[in-house]
Amino acid sequence: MGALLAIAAVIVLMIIGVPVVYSFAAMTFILSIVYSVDVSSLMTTGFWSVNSIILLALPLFVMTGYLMQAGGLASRLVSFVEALVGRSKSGMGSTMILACGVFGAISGTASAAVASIGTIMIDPMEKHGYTRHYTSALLGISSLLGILIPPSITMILYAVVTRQSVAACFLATIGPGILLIIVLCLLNMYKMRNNPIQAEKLEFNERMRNIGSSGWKAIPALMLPVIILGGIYGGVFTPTEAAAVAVVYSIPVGLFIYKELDYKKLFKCLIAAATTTGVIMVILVFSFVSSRILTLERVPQELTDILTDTFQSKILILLLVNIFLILLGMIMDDVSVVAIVSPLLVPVMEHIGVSPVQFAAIVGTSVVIGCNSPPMAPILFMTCRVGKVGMSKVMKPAMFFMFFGALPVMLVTTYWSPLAMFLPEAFGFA
Amino acid sequence: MNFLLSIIAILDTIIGIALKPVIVIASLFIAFTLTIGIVCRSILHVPVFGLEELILLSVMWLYMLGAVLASRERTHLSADFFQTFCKNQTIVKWVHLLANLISLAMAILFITWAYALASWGFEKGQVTPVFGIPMYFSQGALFVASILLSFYLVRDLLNDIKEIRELN
Amino acid sequence: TESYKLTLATEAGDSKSPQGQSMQLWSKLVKEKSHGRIKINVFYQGELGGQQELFDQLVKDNIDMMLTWPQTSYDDRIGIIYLPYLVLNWDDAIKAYGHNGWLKKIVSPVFSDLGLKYFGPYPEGFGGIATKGRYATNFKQAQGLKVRSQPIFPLPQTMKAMGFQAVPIDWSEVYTSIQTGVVDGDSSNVIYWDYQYFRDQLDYYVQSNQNFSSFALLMNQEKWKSLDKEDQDIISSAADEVINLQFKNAKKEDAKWIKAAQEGGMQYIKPTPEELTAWVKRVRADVWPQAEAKLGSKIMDEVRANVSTPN
Ligand code: NA
Ligand code: NA
Repeated sequence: MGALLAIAAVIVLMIIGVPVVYSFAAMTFILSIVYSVDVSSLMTTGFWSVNSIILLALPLFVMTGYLMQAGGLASRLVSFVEALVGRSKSGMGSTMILACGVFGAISGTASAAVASIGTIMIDPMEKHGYTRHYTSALLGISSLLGILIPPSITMILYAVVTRQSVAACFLATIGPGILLIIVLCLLNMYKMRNNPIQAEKLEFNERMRNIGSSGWKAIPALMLPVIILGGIYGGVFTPTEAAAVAVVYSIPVGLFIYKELDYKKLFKCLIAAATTTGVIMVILVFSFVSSRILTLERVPQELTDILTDTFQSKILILLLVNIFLILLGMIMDDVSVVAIVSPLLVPVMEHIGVSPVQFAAIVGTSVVIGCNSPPMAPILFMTCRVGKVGMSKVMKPAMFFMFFGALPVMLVTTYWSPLAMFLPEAFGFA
Repeated sequence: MNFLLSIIAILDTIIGIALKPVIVIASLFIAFTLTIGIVCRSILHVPVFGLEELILLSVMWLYMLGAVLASRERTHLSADFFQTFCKNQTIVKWVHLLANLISLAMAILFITWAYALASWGFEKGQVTPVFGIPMYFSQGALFVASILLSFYLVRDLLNDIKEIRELN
Repeated sequence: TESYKLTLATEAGDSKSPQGQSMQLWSKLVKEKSHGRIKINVFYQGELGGQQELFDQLVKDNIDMMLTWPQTSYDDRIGIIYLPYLVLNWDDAIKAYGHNGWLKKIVSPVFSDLGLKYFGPYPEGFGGIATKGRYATNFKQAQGLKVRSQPIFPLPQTMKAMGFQAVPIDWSEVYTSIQTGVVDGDSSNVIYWDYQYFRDQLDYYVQSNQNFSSFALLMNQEKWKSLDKEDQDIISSAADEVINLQFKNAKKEDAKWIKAAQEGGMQYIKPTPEELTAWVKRVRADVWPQAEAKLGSKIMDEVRANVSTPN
């Protein structure tokens, strides 16, 4: 009961505009009163939880995202992907989706893709017969590939909060991420099947030359996923070390190869990255203390007992969890969802035989919907700003992509475990 | 009120000038030190113990000062849907004030919690295993942040009051 | 008299592990002896946070009792329980750690200064080195082998003295690190952990015996003092039963896991007595003087007066 009261309070506080960090502090405060525990002595939990080498991957991947955004990497990627797939009726849309996917293999967030790929592509796409609101909606969903294709801030958070392996959680969302790419490309092809505007056909030789030259320019950028993923899974370093190498690599690439980064921009990038990180970390301090109180009071176990006693069917429980995740995603940002939901629900999942690693993928796919579903739709708000269109117009195409794209991917991830578990199992994590 | 706000503005400028270089240096230090650690281990085959202590100390300050900057720029994660749905500006302003008051109350609680944490570390003389760095060096980051977070909430609160006054 | 509940936690071991079972036993005995008046909630690895956090929580009394590898962060002198080649065989170990053992007399007041009540050790057996690809039974072979070590003095120093490279890695990252080749293996644990957690990664376990691996049964001292004599007796007599049982079981338990690991395809290797003696001499000459500086000569004098020398 106390736990429900505290979560309800967080929701009310968030609705009236109390920043997430103070809403979580209030949750901690309420829990400490309900269960009569001393928060000042529990602060040590908040401290040790963020004082973690594993979590250190998060600020470093945030830094990489900003550095690559400022370093002129996105435009090289877009040109390369466009040269590969951009010549059909629906080619520009596919280019955007794939570019977000490739960008996702470099950046750990969705917002980096919105800012860089959106800025580059929305205008040209309008010239190719795509309405701005359609493009913005497509960008809103595609940009979330940033958290499904590793590295991923959300997955690092999940792994730290639930004490799973970061490397395993990274692998779990790749399958769903690739499925989302395929589904979005098909939906885009269907929507754009009558697009009258098509890029002029190129001679084979010229096309190859195009791919070659844009590919050559994209190599320094494309090396980054090779370094990060190859490094982690090839046995050179841990996810945290990979993140540090990514930062150290991005700086000279931006400064000396692409020459779009300068020292002033570098300074600004690091400040912006620290701000983004700081916002997440203070939230985490309180959410860790809260979830420690809940664990000490055995709330997750009680929840597990109640859920499994009331609903005997695994499918029914999973369905409830799906609905719960979507509803929570509507009113909360991804950080809050991961921080609140995962410690409560992982015991439930383990009880009904769903691996915490698969649950990572389920949460990941739910965040794709959550970040685009109002009222709390940070990514959709951002794409509206970048696309210079109103919310009301974007809603319809956004709903289309969520209902026929993101939702089916979430359901397949939930009910067909190999999609999420194939890679982690193949790499020996499960 | 305006006098108070102008003092706050001066302090804010000083805080901005002081924090940003620290953040930039800490960020670069963390990334490069970790990378040096990998080079030492995998290429030079001399693993260095204790690097993670220096890194964690810096990153704790990076986290907390980053959060302070977010307060400074009012970019803490928050949902503004009440403002989106309610068209009555007076109600919106009052709710905003209420939200700020609650935030400030929480931030002040945070000061007491963070103080308890740091003073405990000070009292018990807890140190890191390799270099023996006192833990209160990094626990103090939370205390400093809690004070600065509260400072910016006071600024926001005063601005809210000012706006409500101007409405009437 | 009143009824209440206490919290007991460990940083290592799930509910089915020997540690988990022993915590359940401690809790069960206390419940029985108090006729249900004192209830102990047990938390296993990972449930309440990592090693350092848990130890803080114990010292602060957010957690009342622990079965733990004590941290040295509050007091260097705790490091004495990690001193390499302090005891050389089980007889030695019982003389040192057992009821009224010489080591227990040195350790108890140190814990008390820290605000903790020390009930006694929870022995696991002798630690070894588990590796993948190749193994080492002497200083020379150990060159170039990277093994994970906890950054607690003097564990890494010991590995170095034995010829290995010690790499500091958090327990939760060890599996990935072995898998990806960041390290070649793990050090200082009894075979149970290496077999149970990394069996598909590791090929060899060398019984190098450099440390006698033992957890400690601890309670927050203020909490302890707040209890009346009757309840104190209940808890400490229950702890004694757990400890005595573990002294009886540890050797058997260790042997069981050695067998399980061998059947599971892990090679179990015993260095020759000459190799072992060479390691003992090297490590004592190298690490003990370093320990003298950290633990103080008073403690080290007592240690030297009590230890046995290899023949
Ligand atoms: Na990503
Ligand atoms: Na939402």
